[in-house]
Amino acid sequence: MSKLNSGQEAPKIGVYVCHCGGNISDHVEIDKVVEQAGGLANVAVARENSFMCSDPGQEMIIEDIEAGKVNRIVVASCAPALHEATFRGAITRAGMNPYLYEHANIREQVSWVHHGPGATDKAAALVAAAVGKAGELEPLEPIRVEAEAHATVIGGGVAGMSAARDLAAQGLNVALVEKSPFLGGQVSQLDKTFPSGEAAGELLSALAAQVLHDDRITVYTCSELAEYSGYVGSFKLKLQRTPPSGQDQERLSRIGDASPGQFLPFVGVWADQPPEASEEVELTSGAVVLATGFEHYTPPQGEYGYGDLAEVITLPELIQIMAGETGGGEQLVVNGKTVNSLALIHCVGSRQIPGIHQPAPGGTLNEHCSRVCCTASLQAACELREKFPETSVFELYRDIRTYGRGQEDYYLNAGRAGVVFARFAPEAPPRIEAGGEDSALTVTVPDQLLAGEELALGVDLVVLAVGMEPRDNQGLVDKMKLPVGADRFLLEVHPKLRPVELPAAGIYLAGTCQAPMDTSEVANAAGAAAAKAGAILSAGQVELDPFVAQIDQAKCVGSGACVEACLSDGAIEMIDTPDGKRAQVNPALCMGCGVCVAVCEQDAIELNGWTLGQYEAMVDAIVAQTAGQGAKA
Amino acid sequence: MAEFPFLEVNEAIRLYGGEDLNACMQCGLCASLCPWREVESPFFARQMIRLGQLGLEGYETDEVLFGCTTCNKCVINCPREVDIIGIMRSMRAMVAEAGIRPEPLKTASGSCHANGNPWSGKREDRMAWTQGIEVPEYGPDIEYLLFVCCTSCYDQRSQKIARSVARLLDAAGVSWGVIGPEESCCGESIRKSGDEETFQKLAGSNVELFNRKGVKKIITTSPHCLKTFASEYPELGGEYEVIHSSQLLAGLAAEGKLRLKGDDGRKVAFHDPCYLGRHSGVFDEPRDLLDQAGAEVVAMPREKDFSLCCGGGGGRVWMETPPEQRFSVLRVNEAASVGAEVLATACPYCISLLEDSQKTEGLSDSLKVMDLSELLVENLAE
Repeated sequence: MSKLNSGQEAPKIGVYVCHCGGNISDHVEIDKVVEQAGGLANVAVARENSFMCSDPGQEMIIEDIEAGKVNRIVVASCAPALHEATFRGAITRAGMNPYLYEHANIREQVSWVHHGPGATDKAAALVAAAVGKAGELEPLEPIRVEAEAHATVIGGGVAGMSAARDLAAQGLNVALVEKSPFLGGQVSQLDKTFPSGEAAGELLSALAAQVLHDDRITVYTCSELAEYSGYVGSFKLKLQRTPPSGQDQERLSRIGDASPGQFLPFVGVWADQPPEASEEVELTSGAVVLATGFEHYTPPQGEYGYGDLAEVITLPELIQIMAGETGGGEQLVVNGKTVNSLALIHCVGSRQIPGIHQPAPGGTLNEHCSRVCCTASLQAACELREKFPETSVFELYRDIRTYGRGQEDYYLNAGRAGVVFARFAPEAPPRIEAGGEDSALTVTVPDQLLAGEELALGVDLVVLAVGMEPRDNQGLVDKMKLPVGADRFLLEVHPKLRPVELPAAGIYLAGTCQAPMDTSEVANAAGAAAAKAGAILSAGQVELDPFVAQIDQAKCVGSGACVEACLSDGAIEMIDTPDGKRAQVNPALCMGCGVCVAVCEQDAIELNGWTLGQYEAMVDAIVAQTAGQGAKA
Repeated sequence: MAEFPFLEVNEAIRLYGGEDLNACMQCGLCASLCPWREVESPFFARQMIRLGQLGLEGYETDEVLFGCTTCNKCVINCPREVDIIGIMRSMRAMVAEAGIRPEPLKTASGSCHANGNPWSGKREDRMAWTQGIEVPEYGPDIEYLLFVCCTSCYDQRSQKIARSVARLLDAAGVSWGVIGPEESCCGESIRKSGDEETFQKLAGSNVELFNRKGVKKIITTSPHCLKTFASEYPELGGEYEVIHSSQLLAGLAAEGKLRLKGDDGRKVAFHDPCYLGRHSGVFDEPRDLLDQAGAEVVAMPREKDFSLCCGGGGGRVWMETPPEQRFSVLRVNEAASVGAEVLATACPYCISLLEDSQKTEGLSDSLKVMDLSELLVENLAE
């Protein structure tokens, strides 16, 4: 350990206060903050800069370190989430331990929320607290854990297959775990994808071929995750393989003389022979990619006549019917009945509104937009008009959201193809009744485009554009302690900064288990998840922040209170020692939350980087600053 | 009582020339940009198209279906580039078949049938505008046919425009001539008013005449003739190089062939005629000519693409509009508000409506309404 890293030397603290172009300096008197900081104990230099994050700002810190003027750093600027890593990086480049650093947030916590003299006082207090803590900082080393060059992908749809392929391409071994005997997921239920019109079967065949022919990828069909433990770099997984039953068995009966890798329309790609008896598979994986997909909303009986009227079907059902139609006639024929006219209803099971829509039995509503149903409906409408020019098509919508590349064309083309639109309000949805003058059904809808005047449409078929729902993943969520959003989809750490990561290191999200997406977006997300997982695993070891609990075994009396309180399974365990049971931390699993510190009656636990002594120093500094108006300690 | 959509009507509108009917996504931008929003009016293009899409009734009135002045502002701003005028024209044509048309439009159509012009003037009087001047007859050795708008042939005030254009063409040494009473109305406004049959008759007769005379290039005094000759005659077998007088004159002035004194000195506001500006994309040439004449061009708030229609297009020039609904009233006041001494324009319909409003608004002493050609004639160098 170099002298600079020792932390044993008397603290010489450098304080650097940022203007953030006026973001901070418009409301905080930087001069005063710098002056007061300069008067604090242990502070060797106090400086300011317009943008501390800029190269000249960072260079200022590096020069002071290299000149031996300072051995601990405090930067007062924006939120640490933005630039803490930037300044730790600068310190590392200057050859100093990056954990001899403390950050004071005087933008989000001061200048953006307080104006006037109080703003300067608060900034000075936060800087004083940071200086107080900096004096108590110890050099730390990141936790390094060995990483198994193996990833497990759960879910064999487009997301799972894409992620598996991309992980294997980085030289990693991959386990692809699929519940059913088939690969392809929900895309198997499509005929054509949008916006290219490419056949779903061709897309899936190509993707499955890449997966099935890659020696690094092992496909486990008919498998579910039974047990899960471990941490990034070394997850222990147990898979349960079960012979197929129910719907899967029925689907397998359709295989006939197909060979593995072959696509069966509306079933999927048949991967391999299913297991004949139950079996368990144990895996050690460095990372886990979740690609468990979505489920289609199933309308409850009676919603838009579904389940009561045979002429009311869902869009996936229509797609399957149309795929079987060769388009010989002028009109669509369903169940032997000619369809002169049909109505597609949008937003079924999507964009539900409390107080208007009926919650599911569990009390839940799908308040989200499912993002694909508008374009899928319009795609179907265009195809209907093209194949069956004598079948009239109505689209009953709330808003049209054809947001993606090439999707607006379907909207325009549907209009040009003679599709007639009507816009309804969520509180006044279309009503479906059996019978009509010359039709099987009558749909009545107040048309917002006609100031709410009611239209009566005589149609022979009603098609419900059902939305996407989160799959029931409760088993997986419980086993892996996965965060779930208010919309019941799995929830990433941050939608922009860490869009495919979960808070637990080494677990990634790919595709519609996270949110409704179209197939292109799913492929993007899968690529991102694979890249993130690959970046960690290809290094052979994983570096984790050192802010974890540390137990002073001399003080520990083995009460086990910390194990009880711990939020991360396995992060603290009781071990037998010659002195009796003692607590021990597994740093790879510890989240650094500090709950154990709070419950330990012996004060035997410290959180590295956030020790009790450091907290005390901060509190003392704030008290001194606010009471004594910057009096020297 | 719920309405039952009647999709056969939807189909018929598309067959009559409103192919874009279902391409309209009902965003409503058309209705919100429409000059009718400046006054009280029941005409909303979006709503009218909506009724057409569903084949429902309720749009057939003079104020709604025949309200549109075809100013083109909605069309050039439509996010779907829907041919709104085509839809409106088709819907007018459909109700016309049922005999539902405003009386003044029936009169104009009848006159076109009988006299070849909508103003009930005698065919043989078509050259009345040439009184007092010599005009060359079009022949094989002549470069341009000068096609004078029916309005400028028969309306006394408007005849001055035609004579001014003739004078300028002579001054610039252009090779031009007229055919005379054999000419028929271009048919632009008759077609927009929903009388497709009469348009076909007028246009067919003109195409036959022009082709027989060997016409290659046409100068028009009206932007309406310009638009229909250039865009609608080719598919009827009439392919000509068509130019509005202001375009030709601007080129000649730039070449030094049209010599102006350049001492006008007045504050002049230029009113962009819809069919010259938004329909034909001619914005700069008239302003260049005003510059050359030494006028001080003052901008009005609504200019060029956002010019305010005078109210005379789409057959409205033949219909009576109550004073409180006249766009031309708003326009003359707009010109006065920017301190213009002259409100210049380049369309016989605009002149007619603007001058009328200038009088009713009591602006006769302070604001002069002039055709661009009239202003240029005053400024001709000796």
